[in-house]
Amino acid sequence: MKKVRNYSLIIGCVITGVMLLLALTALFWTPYSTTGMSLSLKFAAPSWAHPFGCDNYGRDILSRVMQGIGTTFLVAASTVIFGMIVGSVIGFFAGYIGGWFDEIVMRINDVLNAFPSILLALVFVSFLGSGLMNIILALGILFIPSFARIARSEMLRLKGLQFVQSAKLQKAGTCRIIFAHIMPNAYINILASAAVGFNNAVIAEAGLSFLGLGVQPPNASLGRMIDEAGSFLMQAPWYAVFPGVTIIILVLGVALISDGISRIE
Amino acid sequence: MLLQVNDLKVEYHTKTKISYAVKGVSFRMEKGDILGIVGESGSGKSTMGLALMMQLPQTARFTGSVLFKDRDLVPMTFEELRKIKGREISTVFQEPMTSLNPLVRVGKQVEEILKIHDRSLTREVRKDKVLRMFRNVELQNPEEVYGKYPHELSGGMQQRVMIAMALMNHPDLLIADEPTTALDADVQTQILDLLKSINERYGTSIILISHDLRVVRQLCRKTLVMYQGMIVEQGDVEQIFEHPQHEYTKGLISALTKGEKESEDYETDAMLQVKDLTLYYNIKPEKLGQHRTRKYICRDMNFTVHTGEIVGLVGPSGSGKSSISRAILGLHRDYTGQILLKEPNPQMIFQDSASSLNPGRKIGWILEEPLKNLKDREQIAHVRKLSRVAELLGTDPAKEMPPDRLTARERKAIVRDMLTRVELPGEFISRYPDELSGGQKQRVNIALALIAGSGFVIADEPVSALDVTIQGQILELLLHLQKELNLSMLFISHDKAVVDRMCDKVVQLIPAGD
Amino acid sequence: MRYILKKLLTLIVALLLISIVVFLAFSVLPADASIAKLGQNATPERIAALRAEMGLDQPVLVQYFRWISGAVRGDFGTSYQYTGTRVVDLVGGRIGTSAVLSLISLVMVVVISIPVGIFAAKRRSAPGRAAMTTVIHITMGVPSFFLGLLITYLFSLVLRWFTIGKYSSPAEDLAASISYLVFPAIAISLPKIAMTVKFLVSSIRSELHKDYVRTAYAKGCSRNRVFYGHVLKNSLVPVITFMGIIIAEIVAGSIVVEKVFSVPGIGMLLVTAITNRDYPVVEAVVLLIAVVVIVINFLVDVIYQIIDPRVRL
Repeated sequence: MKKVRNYSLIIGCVITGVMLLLALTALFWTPYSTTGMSLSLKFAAPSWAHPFGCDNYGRDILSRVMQGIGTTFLVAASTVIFGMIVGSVIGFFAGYIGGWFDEIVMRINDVLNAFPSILLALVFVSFLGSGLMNIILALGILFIPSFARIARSEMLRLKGLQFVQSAKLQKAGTCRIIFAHIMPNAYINILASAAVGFNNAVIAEAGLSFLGLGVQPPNASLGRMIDEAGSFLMQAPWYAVFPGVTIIILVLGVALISDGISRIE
Repeated sequence: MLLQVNDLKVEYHTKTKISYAVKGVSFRMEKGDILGIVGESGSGKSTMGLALMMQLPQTARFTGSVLFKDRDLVPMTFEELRKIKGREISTVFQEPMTSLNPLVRVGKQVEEILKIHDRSLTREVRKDKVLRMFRNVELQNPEEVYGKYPHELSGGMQQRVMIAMALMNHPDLLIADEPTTALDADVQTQILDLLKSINERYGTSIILISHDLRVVRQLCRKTLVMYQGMIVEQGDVEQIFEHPQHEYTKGLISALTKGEKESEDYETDAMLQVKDLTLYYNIKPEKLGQHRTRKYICRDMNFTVHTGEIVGLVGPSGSGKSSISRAILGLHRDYTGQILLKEPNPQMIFQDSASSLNPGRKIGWILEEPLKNLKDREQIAHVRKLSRVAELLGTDPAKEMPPDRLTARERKAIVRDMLTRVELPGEFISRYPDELSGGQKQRVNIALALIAGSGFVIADEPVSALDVTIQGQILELLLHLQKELNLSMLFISHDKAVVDRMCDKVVQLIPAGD
Repeated sequence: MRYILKKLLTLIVALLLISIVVFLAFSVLPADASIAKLGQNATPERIAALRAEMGLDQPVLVQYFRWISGAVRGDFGTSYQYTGTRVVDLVGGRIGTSAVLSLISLVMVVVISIPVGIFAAKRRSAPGRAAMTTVIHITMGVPSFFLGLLITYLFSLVLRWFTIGKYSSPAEDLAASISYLVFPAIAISLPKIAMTVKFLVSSIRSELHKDYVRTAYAKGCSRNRVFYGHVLKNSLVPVITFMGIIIAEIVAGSIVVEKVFSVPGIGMLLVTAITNRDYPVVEAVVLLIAVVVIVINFLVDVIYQIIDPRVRL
């Protein structure tokens, strides 16, 4: 047995854990009020009192970033879970049953997949309207095809193996074969792509919010903060930098986890 | 003296441990010899081969000397070796399909070996030489083959291309590493004949590495037998076959030549009757608008398997062995004729013991699964009786057990009992398939096929992926269980010796053509 | 041939599907296009009159055929926001800018990621690999709009190499246009370069372990000959398919980045149109981008099948 430390997984988990902790803390406590404005603190530079500085209304940026992480986690996690569950089930069945059902599902998938995800999100938002729930719904639907594709290819890889034929001979039903026999062998790869999906969701949400079409106030959002900061680059570069760097670290953490998961086998 | 190997040692260094693959091997080889190196997987023969080709991976360290035409290869630099490889020592590998670059026409790939070693040759000369060599290795239509991609050629043709490539610079030594293992039996013989004629015609010395003593016997006069990284026996092939000295070699040879089973006539009733069976398969249309075509896999098969009988099913690949078994199991439905099977729950033992066990589940779960799926009351009663579950658990058989399912306690007891029957320790229930050896996996497969009380089993090449000594043990176990449980069996194999040993009678299949 | 035909069929189905989705999304589903045009305070009579005029009272199928035949001819009606301006003029005036921007980004991705990928794949030492992985992951994770802001800050505000908003379209002055668009192109392409490098490195690594590489060494090939003559070409084949995804990503990235650099392209148009519920414009832009992406993916498939003989069945 070789025992090589999976550093990617460890570092990734630590980063993501710290981020999650910050977001959870923000639910009960932030260093300052996230809405409290103060003219005297307008564009205050980073200091011990305000480590990330203050924005154009004199609000504490650290507090708002903490809250923004929470929103990002909420959006990304719920979209990925939604997309993963629906997509996996569709993909498993399409791959297992094959034939015309598979053909139809996969053609629709091809079309949706060819699309830049943010464009589809924009389409959804343009008639659903913006706001937290709509963003989750739009991005969640967006992720269905990619998970369906992975689940299907896992299914195709596994269903040709003899243990599936063996399960058929043992009179196991279709659902039992899919969920009890095949799924335990597929979840690692699906989980690894869930991490990739999570990052796509983070960036897509930030992008939408940056365009003003995503999460709306009073919900804090890292993307929206960067959008607002764009107008004050000269006066307060830190206003843009801290939310931006937070997104990068968040994404890096999850990417490392994904890397680590794919190295488990 | 062409080649002299002195005290060659190879170790693999990984982060956590050092493993010794070859532990001090010495032998010599004269010009024009054909030398066989035989051994099972893990014997170090493949590592030896790689060492002779100077192709060891970076993690390998090696000591000793390999004197090739009086020059020691071991201390040579990459650049010095490069001039020898492909020119004086050439190689043919096991998998011709993957050993050729899939994106380059085979003619170009063969030509490259000329280009590397002699830059003065013109394009035309090179092509001409390649075509001539293609003819020498008996490739039909050399011009056409020249422009093909590897995937457009059959396995046998690919291996001929590999051999042509190896011979382009008329090397002194050709190392063939399992050159026929991936090929069909009849193609195997052709390739071995080709190697023999090359040896006679060009005087090329050949080292043949193989796990199969019979292949070595077909081609070589002298052989080395390797076991656990050492040479345990060497000398004349026939001598070794007739009078093996080392225990390991004795086992190897006796496993190959174990006697034939005496055929009995079975008067019992028929377990399986196959009448006028014709199997088809569909070919998808090549072009739009073309109709689906139906092709024969096999025609008008007739045979019977009596209760308690083992019937062998033999034939070359493509003759429909697997399709027939799939049809009997109800997995292939495109046939005419009749298949009458008395056993409602036929089972199968697969060839590839690795992929036939669910890698994501523990052995205990895998073996319990067929018991959980039992719904039929009669069968449940049958399994209870067969496995003496009441006895095992010490319960009173008269006491009411649920008639429509087996309880968890019963299932656990049956699984343990089954593991004992296939001679595996009980703690295997909490192991994953990956933690088992090939032979152990095949034992679990046998247990899986028998656990739900099936009286009819199809064994599809159950031992062909295993080492010869393990093969013997598994066949022994199958015969033992068959007698104990009075099983009827359809035994599929391409190996005549195995079929002779196992079967009461043999059904020969012939490819159906169109 | 069969492969291309199959892909062509997929292409047609995809286009049809997209057009139906876009049509349903923007011409049927939004509460009512006529209300959107007239505003909430319109009288029922006026709405009814407008509905008849716009053909909204007819069956959906009839509406679709009328819409699609118009769309094929480039007729998407007039914008709600810029009353009287034809949508096709609005889009046409900006298409050049977006095309040039996407093209520069694509060229950057191809030209930079292949040599960087080769360099990265040749790193053998553990620290070298770890450093490389970290750099790639960080670059991949940078949102392109944030990167855009950083570039703006550095090159425009600090170094003053260009001035935000002082943009001339390619039709007026191509050189000036390109020298401005290079900066947003960096913001778009940098994360894509990281993605491509990662893909190429893993492609090269998996090729290096294949049997034919062993054969090449056994022939007596030099290390460079094995790498550049055999491995590299084979590793680049899957990258072609990957480029299809990258192109779609570039188009998507430009939607967001155009806003950062105030580039008057398709993306800016789309975002403003969505904010103002200017459905005819949204519809036209979405359809345009979709068609471009689908056609490019088709072309990628065709190129792939020309290069890889194994697909040619």
